[in-house]
Amino acid sequence: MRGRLLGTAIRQLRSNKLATLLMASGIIVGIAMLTVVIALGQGTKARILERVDRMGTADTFTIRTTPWGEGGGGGSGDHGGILLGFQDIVNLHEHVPGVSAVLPTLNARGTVTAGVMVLEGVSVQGVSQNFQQVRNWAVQAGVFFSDFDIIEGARAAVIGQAVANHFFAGEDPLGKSILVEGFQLEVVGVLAPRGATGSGRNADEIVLVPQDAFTKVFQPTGISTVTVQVENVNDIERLAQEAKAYLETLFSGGELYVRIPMSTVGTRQETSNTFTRYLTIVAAVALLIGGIIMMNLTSLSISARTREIGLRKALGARNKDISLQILFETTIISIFAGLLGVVFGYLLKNILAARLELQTVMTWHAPVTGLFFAIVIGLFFGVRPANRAARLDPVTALRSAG
Amino acid sequence: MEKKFEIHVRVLRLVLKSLATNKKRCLFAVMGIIIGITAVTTLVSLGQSTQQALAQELEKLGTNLLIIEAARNPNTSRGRGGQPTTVETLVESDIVVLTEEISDIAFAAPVLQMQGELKAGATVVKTSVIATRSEFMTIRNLSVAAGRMFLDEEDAAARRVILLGHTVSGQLFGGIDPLGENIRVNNVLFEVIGVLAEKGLDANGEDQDDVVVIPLTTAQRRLAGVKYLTHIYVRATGTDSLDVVKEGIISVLRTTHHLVENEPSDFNVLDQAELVAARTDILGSVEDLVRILALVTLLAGGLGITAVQLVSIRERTWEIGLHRAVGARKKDIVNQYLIEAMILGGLGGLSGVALGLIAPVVIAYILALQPVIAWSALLVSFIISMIIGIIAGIYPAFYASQLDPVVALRTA
Repeated sequence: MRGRLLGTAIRQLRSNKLATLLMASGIIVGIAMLTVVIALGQGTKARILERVDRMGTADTFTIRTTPWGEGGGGGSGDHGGILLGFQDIVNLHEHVPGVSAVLPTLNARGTVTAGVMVLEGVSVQGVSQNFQQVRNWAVQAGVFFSDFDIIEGARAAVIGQAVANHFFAGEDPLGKSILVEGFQLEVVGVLAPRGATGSGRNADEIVLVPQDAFTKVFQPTGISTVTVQVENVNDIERLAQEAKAYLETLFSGGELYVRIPMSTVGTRQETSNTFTRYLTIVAAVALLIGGIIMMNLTSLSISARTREIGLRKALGARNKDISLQILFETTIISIFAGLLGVVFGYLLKNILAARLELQTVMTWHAPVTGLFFAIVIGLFFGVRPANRAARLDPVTALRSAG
Repeated sequence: MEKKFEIHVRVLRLVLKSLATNKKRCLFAVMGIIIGITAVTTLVSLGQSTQQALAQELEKLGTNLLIIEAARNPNTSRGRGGQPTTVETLVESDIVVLTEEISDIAFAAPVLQMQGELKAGATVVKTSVIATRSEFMTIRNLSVAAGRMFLDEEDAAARRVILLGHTVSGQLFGGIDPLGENIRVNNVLFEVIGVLAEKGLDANGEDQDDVVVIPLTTAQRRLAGVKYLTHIYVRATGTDSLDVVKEGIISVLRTTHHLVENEPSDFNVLDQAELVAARTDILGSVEDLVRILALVTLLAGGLGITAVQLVSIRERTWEIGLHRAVGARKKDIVNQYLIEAMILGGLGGLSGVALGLIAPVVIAYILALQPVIAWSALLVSFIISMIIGIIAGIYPAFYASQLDPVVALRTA
């Protein structure tokens, strides 16, 4: 019996091409749209948050062996108490999962000279291998240090915009030599401008040198400040505490001090919340349009068949048979058209992403919700009118136009 | 003439009757248009509200902030405490000129920044001392966590009052309440009247709480014995006017400082370039998304409207065949359906515009966003929905009217 009904349903679908096509196209358009819209929305959200993280150091926290303060903007200060060794730091990400990179801060104020010109109190930073991953500071002209430069301790410097302007206004600074505390270095790159820091200092008044060169010039006895990058910003507070606890066990009794960039983390949170709210609205609107398109077409395709239903009844079909037949038809169409819609949506999203350089993220819940909707709507707006048609007197049904 | 009018009335009545008998189809056609317009307008309007909210959030970090810093002193002698010295040409009267000449400056605050050695009992801490006026708090989004900000009268009277940054307060007093305590700044006695709210590290990993704030007049008279400033902090009315303000500052200050052409400026104007670039990228991404969403929804809505109208092709073919058989001309038929499509389109279009105006405002209110009406989206979606609605409405009639009535009647 069931087999025969299924057979009838499929035969009907094939003979009633227009009605089938209509209902199917409603579902395909609805689900494809839902898939595209949500993939684009999620992609944009990912892109925005990535940009917020890159904006500065929202995905890092900083651990110091001395209490915060002492210097009023970036100086390393006198480090009394304990100092970390390179090995302790390198091992950190093995002991604290979720940490993606660790960067020891080698920072000092120094006098930089070029020819007869002098610049005092310039922030000089030693660069180790993870520097670019953590700090993400683009180079505007020339190159950044290669890993080879860093390991070999090349006598090279990458200078900030303000330093370049001060010494080499109107000239090309690349290849020129500067002296950092009397130590000669060749300028290989100029950093992109960053402007003012949160505390109002000029961030571009900076000279970056390989770690080895820094050690030779300033002879630090160890590391007092470490910047730690995390994989997921949402875990930053927990990871900060874990990393602090781990490092403290290495120095039994010593206390470490940790800070997270609260304002940028807060901004990230707010940005994420605001945008997620918008995406909810987008999903709701997409679902509404998709739903209404599906509803209209399903409903119309069934009502176009009132006559056919009358004919079947006149030939001896019972109400139950008709309901079951329509149920089968609707379910088959919903599933096939739904899957087709997902495929179309996926292709369309890829085309859009490639053509317009948009970022997309495919989520499973968009197509699944769409399919669920298609089936519910199919059942509600397909089976109900069919039931009504089935209850009609066959004569009335046959007489109705369509 | 009268006869023609009569025919029009009859056609109209025919249309209304046909609409009444096909309620469901009419409803769907109207609904398609309403949903099309409302959806596009809602997505675009709320997209713009979201963009505004994001812009405001980023502005809190200081995207609309400009810092004018006095240039480094060309002769390289170090100042007190080994700090680099600056030229002495940046003065308070510059602020008056700047705010008068440039209308897009919302606030400006004079700042004399120096290194300070703070002593409380036996504890000694080095930090940066910011001597300023009350506008500074607004410009830098600083708030007072405990105690109060100094008053303008206290500044005018050069009173020795101080607000501590969160870090400094912790270093000097630990857990003890610092309010009312006396500390020494470069050996001058100050009374602690407030503690600043914690700001954490900035985007460069610098501690923004490692700072103390004192009145400018006090610092100039009692600490430094100077009349110049090291910085002027400026907040533009919006990040969009940042470049205009920056250009304005450079030209106004060059004039007031009597600099001749090609002479280097005795000041630098800094913005938070990294933040401004991030803001541009972020808002651009949202804009791209909104545009694509509008396009996709418009497309889907259009398809929906078209499909609904096409469903009725067969039904109508039969009906039109009948009309033709009893004597209607092709023109009459096309007219009839055009009127029908226009009535439905008009109804749907107007309701769509009404809903498109109300829905975004209501949703924005619920989400606590600033409501924006996207007029262009409203107009474009209205026009496109109407065009699609009318074409999809009369196409079947046009198709059927070309058929031989006998063939048309047989299709049902």
